[in-house]
Amino acid sequence: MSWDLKSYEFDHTVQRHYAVLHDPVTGAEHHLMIYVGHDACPTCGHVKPKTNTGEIDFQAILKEELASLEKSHAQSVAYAKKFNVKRAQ
Amino acid sequence: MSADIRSMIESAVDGSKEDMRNLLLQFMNQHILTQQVTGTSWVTPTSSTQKPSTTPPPRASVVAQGANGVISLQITNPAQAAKATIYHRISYSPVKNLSQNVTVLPTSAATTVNIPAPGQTHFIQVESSYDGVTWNTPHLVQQKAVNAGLQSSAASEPATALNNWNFANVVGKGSSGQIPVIQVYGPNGPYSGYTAGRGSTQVKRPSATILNTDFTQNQIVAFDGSRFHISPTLPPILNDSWEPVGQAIANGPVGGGGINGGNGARLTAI
Repeated sequence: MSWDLKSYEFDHTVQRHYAVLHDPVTGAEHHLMIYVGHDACPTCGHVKPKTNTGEIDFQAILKEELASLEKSHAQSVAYAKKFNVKRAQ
Repeated sequence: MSADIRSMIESAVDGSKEDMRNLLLQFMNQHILTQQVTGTSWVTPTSSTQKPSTTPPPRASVVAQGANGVISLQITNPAQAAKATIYHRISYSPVKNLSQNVTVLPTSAATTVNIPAPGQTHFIQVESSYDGVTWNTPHLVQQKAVNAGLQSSAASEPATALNNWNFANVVGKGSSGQIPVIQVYGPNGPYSGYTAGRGSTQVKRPSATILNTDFTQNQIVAFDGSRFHISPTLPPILNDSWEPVGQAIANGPVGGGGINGGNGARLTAI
């Protein structure tokens, strides 16, 4: 695994879970945000709490995101290796 | 009357145009000087009686606004003195009682005043006078301090204001029963970063996955240098240090920059 969870926090001002995933070798980052606050009706502006927060599994989402990043990374490495291309600085 | 003036008058009467010109210019200069001191004018006489110099004018109303590093004052002279020249003396300080770090601007009859003060907050005080000698009671323009705001160097460059650009795609998906998701990524596809710039400065930006937004509305994505932010409307993301990335259109086409997004991150296209 080259991608990993770098940091995460919960921002209460906007009610979101914010995680930064990174590849320490390349320095690349991918940000993951999950909003758990309220929704507003676009027509009348009525605000109501989100009803699906119970369905959200952060660990599962994190695992899925890391797997996608890893797959993308593996493809890049394989391509670079095939043609012996050095990594850009 | 001085001998010089007298001889100039005599010469002018005899037909010397140059002496006549000099004579009139001296009268004009004298008039301007008198006008500045007394607030009177005999070249453009007023129909109302000029207030005596010992009585100060009523308060002028002043509106103060701060933006882009400048505090702008718009002064409206009192109606009772509309035909008189009123001089204003403006002082400002970060302290409400103007006891410290006070700056006093030169006395002026101008009714529009700009105070460059990037990032500073000041209380503004104004006093007015007809003659520059007798002043009315100083008063604060408003009880709250005025913040000049930050000056954006990018915005001050000619023809580059709001010249934010990027090669990001901002793609939203939302359907009933599924968690709404917005993906932010570069030209190489999801999970790859993008290039952004302000003016001629280019930077690399990360990709992002934004889950469970209110995707019944369009969502505009911005990046502040370390974190992404979303808002259904443009004003909340127009902070000086934030970069608009693009817009995820509810149940619509790809937003953001890049070929597919039509460089949607440009403010004109949002």
